[in-house]
Amino acid sequence: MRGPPAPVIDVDSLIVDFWDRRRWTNVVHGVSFHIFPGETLGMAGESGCGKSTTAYALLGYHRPMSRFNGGAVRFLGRDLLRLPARELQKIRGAEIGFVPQNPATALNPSMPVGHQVMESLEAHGACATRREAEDRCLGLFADMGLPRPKVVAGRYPHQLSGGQQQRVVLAMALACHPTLLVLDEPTTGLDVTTQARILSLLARLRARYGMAMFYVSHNLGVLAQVCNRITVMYAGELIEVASTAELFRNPGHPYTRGLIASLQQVSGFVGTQPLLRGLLRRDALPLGCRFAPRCEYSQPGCFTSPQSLATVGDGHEVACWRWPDIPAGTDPADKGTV
Amino acid sequence: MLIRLVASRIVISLFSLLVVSWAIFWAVEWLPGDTAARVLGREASAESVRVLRARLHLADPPLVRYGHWLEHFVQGDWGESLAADRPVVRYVFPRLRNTLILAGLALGLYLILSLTIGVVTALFHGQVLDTWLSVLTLVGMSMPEFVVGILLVLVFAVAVPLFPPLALMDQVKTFPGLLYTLSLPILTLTAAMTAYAVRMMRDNLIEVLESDYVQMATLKGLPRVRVVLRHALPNALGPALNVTALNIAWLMGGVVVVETVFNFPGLGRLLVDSISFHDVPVIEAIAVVLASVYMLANLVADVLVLVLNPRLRAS
Ligand SMILES: Nc1ncnc2c1ncn2[C@@H]1O[C@H](COP(=O)(O)OP(=O)(O)OP(=O)(O)O)[C@@H](O)[C@H]1O
Ligand code: SF4
Ligand SMILES: [Mg+2]
Repeated sequence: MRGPPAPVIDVDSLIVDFWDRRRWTNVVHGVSFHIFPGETLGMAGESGCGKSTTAYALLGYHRPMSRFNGGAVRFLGRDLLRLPARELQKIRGAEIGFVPQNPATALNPSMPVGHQVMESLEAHGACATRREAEDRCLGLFADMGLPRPKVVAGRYPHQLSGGQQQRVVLAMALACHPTLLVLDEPTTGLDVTTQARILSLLARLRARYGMAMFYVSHNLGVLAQVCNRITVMYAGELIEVASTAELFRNPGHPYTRGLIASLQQVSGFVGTQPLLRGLLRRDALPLGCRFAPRCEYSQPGCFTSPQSLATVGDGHEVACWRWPDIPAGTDPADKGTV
Repeated sequence: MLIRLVASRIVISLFSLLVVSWAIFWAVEWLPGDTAARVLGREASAESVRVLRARLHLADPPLVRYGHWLEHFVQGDWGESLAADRPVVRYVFPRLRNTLILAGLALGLYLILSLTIGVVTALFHGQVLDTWLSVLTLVGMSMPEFVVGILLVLVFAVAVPLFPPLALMDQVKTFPGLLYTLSLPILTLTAAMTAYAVRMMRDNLIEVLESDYVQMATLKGLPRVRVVLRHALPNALGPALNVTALNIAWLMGGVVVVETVFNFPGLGRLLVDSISFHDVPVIEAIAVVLASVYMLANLVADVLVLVLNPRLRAS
């Protein structure tokens, strides 16, 4: 009898705080999930909910003026939050690749982009000689669909287009054939056509390198195209986890339903689900369900009893005690959208 | 791009030098007293003063004198000192050498100190070490250099006689001897310059250390030392270079004061002496030399900023 394969990465009750002028403020509040080898896990949620903070934690990194305040991030069994700096260096960029939110600012403005890729290869001892590193860098650029790799390698970031910058950053992240690729909104700044190209490039790369991926986006529609499973985050907590098909067929949490409804509104479909109203206000979170101030279905009890993920189906978890009472409404997935 | 910049700067500099020499000439002209009276002293007869004035062409109209000086100067003839019958070049160059030694050593120490202290304070930003060094730089920034000089003399030459209070160059034989003799003037000049540059370096570096590309370098798994030296530092140097150019400009004035405090035989003291004698050729020569160093420093800084920042280079 064989159990499920061991996950590549296992995040367990992660807590991250940041220093907000005079006190520690919580950003990520007890988040747990795992990613299996070769799997792509998505994370959706609106701006400021803590997606990037979670993505960084997968590399054992937190931003300046912030701290890990609990939990574990186990990569192939080793807890990255407790690893000495030297060990972390060996893993970052080699076994775990990172694709940043904004490639334009994530590339060093005063260094040719080729150097920035080769530097990664050299730091991890992936190439014996400079020559070899150069060849490998040019090969990667070609794989990323960059025209004339040699010319591009000598360019500075400001001389490349947004799409080219994104491909360079992808090359950098994949240079050492990582087991896990963390992508923080990799297509957000790009126009729709370029975005589509990068997404199909990603699909090809995954087929070829077979790495697991953690894909962050505020756009559920993008996640639907690339992910096996999706997590939805709200105000630093996971409120729903499900396989992509299940999430769209059977969304449990009112917030997820709102996200899907706004997606359909954008695509011209008039759904029966209520749209999201209001904005995430971190300074006014209730003790109970954090979504309660904006929830169409909230009851007095919601404001006082904290909600955590509970299994509602096969691999499907929802953090809302009222989910069975909420009318399923017309199921949008039946109409063949998304 | 680079060549255009350098060429246009040289043209502008030459024009500025002309303006400087013109302004200095009139400033000296308007000062009360004149060379002949000063050279001959109080008891001199009106007759001997008139004779000397005639010999020095002081009776000519000012415009004629300026034109005469300029004509020779652009041909490389810096003329004779009015106060002492000696060619200006022989006067100015030994003093210039001394001043350049003093300024050069101060500049070297300044570069080393502001880089290291700047980097250290930025890396330990918000911690005790940074707080202390920051207080120190603020104190340094707010004190005029002659106060710093006098304080240093009082502490390190009088209270604790570690270093000589006067910088007498005649006894210097070796390089360590030179450093020893010049230690207090060097420290005085360095203190004033370093304070400002450290501040600049620290603040820039802190900002750059929080940038996305420094974060990216960390997430690529580069060692911290490489992240700081290779990714952060070059991008933080630009504004510090401009401060350095300003500092070199300040240095040209600072040496005048410091040389006087420490009785150091440099250009600055010569300038002060020459002004009291209305010795126009010497004053003009010193002004032109100091102004040229100033402009050259600015040009070098601008070129370096361009070289460091490819985005500016392209446009
Ligand atoms: N130094 C810090 N470290 C972590 N979080 C911080 C820090 N400074 C501020 N924050 C706050 O933490 C919250 C989470 O930020 P995070 O970048 O993770 O959000 P996000 O979901 O990635 O948002 P976006 O879609 O805008 O990128 C934000 O409200 C942000 O303002
Ligand atoms: S717990 Fe209550 S407030 Fe929270 S999502 Fe469910 S129904 Fe809405
Ligand atoms: Mg983000």
